[in-house]
Amino acid sequence: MLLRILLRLGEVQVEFIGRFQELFNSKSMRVDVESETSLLSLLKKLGEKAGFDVVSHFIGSKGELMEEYSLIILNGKAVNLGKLSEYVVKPGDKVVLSPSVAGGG
Amino acid sequence: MKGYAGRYLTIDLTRGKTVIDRVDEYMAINYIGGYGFGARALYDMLPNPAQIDPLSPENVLIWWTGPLAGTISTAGNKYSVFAKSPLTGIFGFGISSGLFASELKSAGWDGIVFTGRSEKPSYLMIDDDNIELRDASHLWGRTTWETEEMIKEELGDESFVVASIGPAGERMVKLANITNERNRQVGRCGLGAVMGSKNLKAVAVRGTKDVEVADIESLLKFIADLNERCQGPATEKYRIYGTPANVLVHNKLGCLPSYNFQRGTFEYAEEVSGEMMLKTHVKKIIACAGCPIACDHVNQAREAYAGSTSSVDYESLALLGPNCGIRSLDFITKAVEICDTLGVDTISAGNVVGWAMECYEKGILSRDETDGIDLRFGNGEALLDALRRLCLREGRLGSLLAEGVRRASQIVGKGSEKFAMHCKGLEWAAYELRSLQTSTLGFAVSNRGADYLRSGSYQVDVKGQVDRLRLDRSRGKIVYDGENLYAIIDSLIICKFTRGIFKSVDELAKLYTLVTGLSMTGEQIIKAGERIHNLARCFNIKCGISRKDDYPPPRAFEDPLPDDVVKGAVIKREEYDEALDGYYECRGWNKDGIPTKRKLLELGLNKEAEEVGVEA
Ligand code: SF4
Repeated sequence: MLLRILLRLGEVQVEFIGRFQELFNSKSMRVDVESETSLLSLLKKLGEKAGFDVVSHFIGSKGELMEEYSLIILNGKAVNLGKLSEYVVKPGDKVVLSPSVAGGG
Repeated sequence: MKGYAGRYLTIDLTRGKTVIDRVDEYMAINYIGGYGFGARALYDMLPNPAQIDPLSPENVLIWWTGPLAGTISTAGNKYSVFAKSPLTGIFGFGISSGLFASELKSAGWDGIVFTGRSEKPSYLMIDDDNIELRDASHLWGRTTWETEEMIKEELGDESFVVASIGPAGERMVKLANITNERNRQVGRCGLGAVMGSKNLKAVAVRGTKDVEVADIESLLKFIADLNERCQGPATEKYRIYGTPANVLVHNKLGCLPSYNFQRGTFEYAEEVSGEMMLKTHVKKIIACAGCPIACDHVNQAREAYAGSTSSVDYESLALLGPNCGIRSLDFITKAVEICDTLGVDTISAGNVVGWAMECYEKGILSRDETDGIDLRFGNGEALLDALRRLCLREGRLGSLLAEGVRRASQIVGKGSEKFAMHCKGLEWAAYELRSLQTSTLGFAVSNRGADYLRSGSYQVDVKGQVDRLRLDRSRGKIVYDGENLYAIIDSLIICKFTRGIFKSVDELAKLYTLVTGLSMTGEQIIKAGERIHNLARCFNIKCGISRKDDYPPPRAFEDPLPDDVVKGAVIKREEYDEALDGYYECRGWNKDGIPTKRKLLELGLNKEAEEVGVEA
């Protein structure tokens, strides 16, 4: 038990909403991160685990931001998709992958 | 000029007289349609709006389509309705979709203006050029759904499209809406009450004419491209789950209002999410005329309310659900059905019932004052009972809630005004105030009141482009840009859900030109948006609006959010003031929010510069 708790200290909790729940066939997933890593690297790692290109849901093939399509929340903060490589993710952090907000707002 | 029918009807309900007027090129180029035409007409027809009782025959009720209605344009079949609002006492405006707009245009009309008051209940029938004001005594008291069916049967043709009010509008409930095709509404500002005050139960329309466009070949190509984009990623969120997809993401961001905006998350969010709804309650997904997206998710309730059906969008769901502490999709589906059939706006209704629940739990409203209803948060039966009373103005509770949250809180007092969640008298929609602060500025400065549809300023908050828990001067520009763009979207009128498919404002101008044949650039069309926004503001200034009215309710400044994800979030008054100053500066208004003569003259609003404008 203690070992498991210790191991979890090295994990990032990733939750999925909407389309991402279907894509990952799960509501959440834990991803090992040894120390600090960029959000972009985390998405790539998730893609390797799940077997599809996760990054393409956020950055299009021509480098365009897919802001009308998807969004990311890191520890309760909305993420600017233009700066994925600048956000630092560390063990214990919480990430949410979601379709973007839909509304007239 | 094409696209437009080029004429509109003015109907004097008091005398039963009809006049036909023309829509000219000057009007088209400067005010586009929809919102623009409505702002122009309201300003001109009510020169002293402060003196007009919104429920008197002196108020006007104005219906406009836009240039795209009735054409093949993507998601362009919308109509708009305007009056001085009985709920807010200022510029009242609502938009609905469905088939009504294209039918009216096909009948050969851009709009209808109603003045006066009919002596007895009546409805207007438009069958191309045949215009008839018919007796509606037998329809009075009927729900919107019954009215629609009865009129179609009476006129002997299913293809008539009907927009009507329910019993709430007849009783001049301040939250009353106008419904067409069962589940499409001109929802906000209580325009159904204005219709009721005029003894006008419905408008039924059938049109058989073609709507001509200027350049059909290029338009077909452009529309094919737009329709293809509609199947792309930017609109996927609407197609699959509809707007209820917002529930879970808003919950994660701490911006899902619950328990009358006391919190920004809801512990039962999963149970009322778009994902859950799709699995358990969605019966069918439908689209408005000419829309390849199809976002409208029609629910069927189960168990005790089996058989109840309603179209449930995010706003209705959040306000009648989490905001009232309700965790059951059956109750929410039934609640929306009550609002739709009896004819009130779901947003305002969920907001005011949430307020009453907080009053009840705090001992401000006694059980006597709630007509014996145990109005606790989370009590689904109590919600439904309160809604029925509100719609029918029944009992003490119904009469109170029928006034809307601002007036109700003034009547009750005892500090309840502090948690009456509105701006300028219009109930706040389902975007939490403290955790989306750019959005809050956008809501608060809006011409309609707390308006979630006038600037899209929430987008920078949820896209992480700004710190959404703070405000600064730069947010003013974001709201300013959004408002000018949305003024055009609402004048053309196209569905806001398609905004992501247009690559630039030049494409909106291109669409306008291909349809109308009137040359227009992106820069010119945005200028028209600015003109339209200023014109509506001028109407409001005449109603007494100024800086003091451009603030969110006290809760935004005084009650920090308790939710983990946004713990302690609150709006700092000095930051808000700074952002508001920034907004006025972009607008070219003075510190008190009054447009300057210079700005109005620059926009060609000469009469308004004279009547309303101030020196800098
Ligand atoms: S996206 Fe939805 S609301 Fe907009 S036009 Fe299409 S079906 Fe109607």
